[in-house]
Amino acid sequence: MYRYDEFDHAFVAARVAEFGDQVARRVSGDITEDQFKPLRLMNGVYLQLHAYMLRIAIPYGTLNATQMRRLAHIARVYDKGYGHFTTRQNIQFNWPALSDTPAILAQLAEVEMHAIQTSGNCIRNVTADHFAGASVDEIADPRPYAEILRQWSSIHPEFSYLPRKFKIAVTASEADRAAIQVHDIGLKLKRNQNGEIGFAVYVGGGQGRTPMVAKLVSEFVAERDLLSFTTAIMRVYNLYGRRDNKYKARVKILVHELGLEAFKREVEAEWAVIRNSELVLPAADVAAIQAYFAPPVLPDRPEGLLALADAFQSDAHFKAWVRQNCNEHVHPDYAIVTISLKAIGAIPGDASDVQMDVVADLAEKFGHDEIRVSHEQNLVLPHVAKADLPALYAMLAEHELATSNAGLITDIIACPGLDYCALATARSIPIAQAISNRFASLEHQRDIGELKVKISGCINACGHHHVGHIGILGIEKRGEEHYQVSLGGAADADTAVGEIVGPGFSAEELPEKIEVIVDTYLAARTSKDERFVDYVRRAGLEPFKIALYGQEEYTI
Amino acid sequence: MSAIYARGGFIADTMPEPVGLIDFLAAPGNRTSVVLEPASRLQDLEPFLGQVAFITIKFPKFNDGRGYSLAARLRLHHGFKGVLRATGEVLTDQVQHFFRQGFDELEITHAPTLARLATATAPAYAHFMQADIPGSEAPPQTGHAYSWRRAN
Repeated sequence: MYRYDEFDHAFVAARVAEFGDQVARRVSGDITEDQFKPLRLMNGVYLQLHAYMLRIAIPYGTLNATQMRRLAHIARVYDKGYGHFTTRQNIQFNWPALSDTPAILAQLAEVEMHAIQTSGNCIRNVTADHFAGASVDEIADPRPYAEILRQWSSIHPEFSYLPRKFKIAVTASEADRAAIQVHDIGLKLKRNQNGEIGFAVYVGGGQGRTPMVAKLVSEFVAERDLLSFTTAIMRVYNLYGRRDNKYKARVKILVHELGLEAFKREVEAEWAVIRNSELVLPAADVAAIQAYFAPPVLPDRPEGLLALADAFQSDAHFKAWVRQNCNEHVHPDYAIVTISLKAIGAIPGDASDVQMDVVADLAEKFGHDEIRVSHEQNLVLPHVAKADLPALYAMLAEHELATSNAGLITDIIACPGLDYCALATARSIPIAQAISNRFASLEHQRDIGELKVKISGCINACGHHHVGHIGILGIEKRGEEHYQVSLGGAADADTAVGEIVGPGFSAEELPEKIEVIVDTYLAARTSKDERFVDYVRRAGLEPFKIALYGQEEYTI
Repeated sequence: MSAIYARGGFIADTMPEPVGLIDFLAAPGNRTSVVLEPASRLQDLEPFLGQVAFITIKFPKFNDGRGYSLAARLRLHHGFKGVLRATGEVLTDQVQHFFRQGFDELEITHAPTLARLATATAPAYAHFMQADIPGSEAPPQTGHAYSWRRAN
């Protein structure tokens, strides 16, 4: 993984000093709250409902054990003993004191972490496939390119005061585990006919109150042009993105209002001027960054096959966990392990300080000191020998980290909602917990198969409800929390925005209604091979409307 | 009260009285200075850039970043070599951004910013992840000298 050199250390130290100074000036009154707000946001400090929240970047979701232990320490000392992993591969602490934040940032800098640009109208934490460097289906590891973009976008003098936030995601797999088409810029690694690496560039995806799937702006941008082409997009957006209405300020609206062809012309014209400038990315620099991401040396462990077969005989729970939470690794003796942060009835994405320490220990013991955070709010150990899976599973199980539900109906994405967030209009967490409890039976979950439930507590869609197979949006209606359900969304290679099924439900009604939806699918699917989302695509919303609202009411 | 700040410190205001772009375009004559708004179109000014020696870009709000991209285009697309000044809500925390983005002078009215610049107590960065505009060649002496890095 990437390691800071002296330059990075000096850069982040300067940032910590600057923020300490900004906090002091805010306290002394030299700057107003209006002037301070964008500065604290660009350092990850939000003002939430009850307290400040600090959002720390985990670039492209990659951590080592030392870093995870530092997060556990921060949870213990400065928070209430837990942290919340987010859909953008960040971690949030919900209860730090503002006056502690410079100290926390200094402690993070010691382990090569920061909170730079995790909020604010700037280029946010660059995210990538959480299976990068381990999966069987990637063109190349996408993380070196994400790291180059992270560095280049950090404290960018031109792009620190954009019309709105700006999110970039990188994938190198057709399966797209990074949800690139719901990002402002989505990059997909590909090779041209000569075998050279480049990127298909998608622009203008996003969720919020106007969900849009990103448009293909270029079929192939060569590796050398990555920074110049990105700069061209950013400059066009910075100049022409709307600033009169924050709800129309994302680049998706610019692409929509200008039209894709006109937007492409603007970008191409800008690019023509800067393409051969100092923004050219030298192959030697790419190679130097790639060297940090060299795969770990994985000794052959052929005994794993027998060890698994033995353990499967004696422990059905273990077998189910391997089937559900382990993915194929490029090395046949190894597996990619998903550690579910979705224990039945737990808060999606939350981990206690103890759990974080346990994962750090296990990463050192079994995982070549690598941990990933997925946008689905789980943790991943990307390089575990199959022979070590039984021991790993046993230790995870002791700490409620071995729930075999990756990709199943209780592997729910949820935003913090009205329990924490100042923007929320309804609670998300209790809804996630209620659905999780209702579908607690793992056997039943497995029978249902892949089903992605995503819950947002307001129209801003941090819980990705638009792209849930079942999406749930909490709104406030005459003083009551009220939940709209949409079906058929997806955030993978077949990205789509879900459709609202009909009138919403109260918090009390909702879990039962979700069960009605699931039962409708179970009764009508052609076989287990037809996933829930496949069925919605085939059958449309009608069977669900009839099941939820009744034949008569529906036909009137 | 306002003062003009350049990279080296405060300087006297020796520039001609600027006029707005609309007035400029109505009667360009021998005018050599112009003021741009965040939404100004550089295409309109382009035919006259040969005679212009001084351009001021307004920042009505410090968090409206369009002026930074206007500066980039003036320097990179149009090869503007004259004096570029930022005016409006120009605050301590953006001073380095302006100079790195191709501005020569800042017109500062914010009293705490004036005080800090006068005593040179503001923390400053010495390491950058992007080249300055219009482009400088000062590779870092610490860490890797990646193409996108610069150092003072």
